[in-house]
Amino acid sequence: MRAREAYRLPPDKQEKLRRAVRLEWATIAFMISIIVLLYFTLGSSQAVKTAWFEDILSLVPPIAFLIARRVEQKEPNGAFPYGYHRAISIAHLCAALALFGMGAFLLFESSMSLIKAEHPTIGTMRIFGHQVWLGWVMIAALVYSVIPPVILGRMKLPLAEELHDKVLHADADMNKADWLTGLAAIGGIIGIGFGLWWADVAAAALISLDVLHDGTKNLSSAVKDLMDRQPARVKDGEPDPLPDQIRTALRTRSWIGDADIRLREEGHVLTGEAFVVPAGEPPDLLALLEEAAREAEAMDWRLYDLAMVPVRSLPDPERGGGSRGGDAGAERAFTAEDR
Amino acid sequence: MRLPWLLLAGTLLGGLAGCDLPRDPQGTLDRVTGGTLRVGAIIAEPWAVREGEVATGVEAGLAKTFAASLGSDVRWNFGAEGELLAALERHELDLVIGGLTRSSPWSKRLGFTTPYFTSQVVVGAPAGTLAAAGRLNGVRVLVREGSATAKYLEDEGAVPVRVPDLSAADGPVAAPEWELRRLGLQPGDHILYRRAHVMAVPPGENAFLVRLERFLDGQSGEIEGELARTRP
Repeated sequence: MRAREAYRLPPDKQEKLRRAVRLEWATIAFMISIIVLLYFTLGSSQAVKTAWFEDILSLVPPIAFLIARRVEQKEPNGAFPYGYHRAISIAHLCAALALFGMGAFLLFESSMSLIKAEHPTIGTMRIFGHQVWLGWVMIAALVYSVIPPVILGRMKLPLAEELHDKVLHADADMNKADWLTGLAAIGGIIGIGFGLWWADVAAAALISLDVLHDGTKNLSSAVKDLMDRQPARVKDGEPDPLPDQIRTALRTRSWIGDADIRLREEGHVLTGEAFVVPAGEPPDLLALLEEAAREAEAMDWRLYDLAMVPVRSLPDPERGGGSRGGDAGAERAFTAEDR
Repeated sequence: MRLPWLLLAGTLLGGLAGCDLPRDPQGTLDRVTGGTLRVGAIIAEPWAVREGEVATGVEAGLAKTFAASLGSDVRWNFGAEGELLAALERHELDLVIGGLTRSSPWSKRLGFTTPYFTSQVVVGAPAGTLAAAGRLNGVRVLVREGSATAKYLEDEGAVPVRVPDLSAADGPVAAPEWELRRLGLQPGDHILYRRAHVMAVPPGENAFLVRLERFLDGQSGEIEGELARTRP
């Protein structure tokens, strides 16, 4: 099979990607330190336990990112003629599943504790010859566990948008969930300190709703991307304006009578076909098509392996089925139902 | 996170540290102070022994001293472990004593103190006859019948000899160190397992628990001596 040409990220994006890789390694290192620290202060506080479990789960997105990054770099070959870009989409699915699973687990655990009215018992710990209430120790550990995710998550968000990297974005969501649960756990322990046994679980239940929301959003986006829906923005999941821009640019060419485009996401890159109806019988159509493809690809760094397909006519928008108007209509219907 | 936020958070936490935390959801400490401490005693020599309407023993003594430190009177209740702990879980008792250890499955449903005393179960023998540490393979070791210790001995390759009474032993015996000393035997170095002794409080009564743990922490030096004074 004929493999695609290898894709090269523009130099400025490569630099950003290297930063993202460094950030993810830093995330793993910080998370492991937090997991170890929290392990030694785990008491019977539900919120602390959940925060701890969540910190373990939050290792999934960075690991998925780093593995996918490795795989994605491989060049297309006979066995994988389309290349390895989808590794990023699969990593996004893994990260989204981790986030969703965490939210679901959090909600289940905290509601169970609330229903059973479990009174968390927190005793003391001997530190430097003093019997200190373990609640203070937990709060100190949680404060430490909150700071790195806040900083790392904020550093990841702009990178994720610039790199069109949904794994990184899901990971930033995970970091947000991390520090939110950390803060909730602190509030819960202070609540326990004041004799409010339910403060802890109520805080955890509240946070779980937010985490579950982020998880569902990411899960749905990851599945849809794998199903080749139209490209969507990393930031908010709204349809990407790029396909329309390309279509408009193509239609302005004098030798093109009509044009349309079909794009999908493969991890960082966007790929697909542009259909053009030549106006009349232009001489040297091949050269014109090649030039149009080059210029279209230059419109955005993510565009990769755009196939320029000359067609006699585009399907009539008036008729249903595979028509262009029908396509666009179907797309609109899909989006409307979807949101 | 910017500096003002950190300062604000720090001030808040500092302010909280000034409050008298933690507090009890059911107010056990407040009720008990200057009032009555309802203690459930599981009969377990030498930790709690019944003498008429009161309990004696190492943990009973600790409970009495603790009650005195709160200016409260002790009301003793005797019963089976499950019965007393179930009452404790429902706040019908304030404290349960009697040889409870940290490994109890009740630890998830109640408040257990951090271990105030850890006894090591070892093999001991009359002074001078103690075999080299760790060489338990094939050795016949006396152990009280109905004790988990026999299984630990088997796991180490020793041959447990289950007897109803250890006082007549003239060879190696497996028991907690304090018991070996009480029998006039010299404890060896090889630890079969540990028993981390705790007391139980109602679930979630953190102020009361913290108060008790601070008290027990101050007593830990006395436990060995108290144990040595007990007689079977």
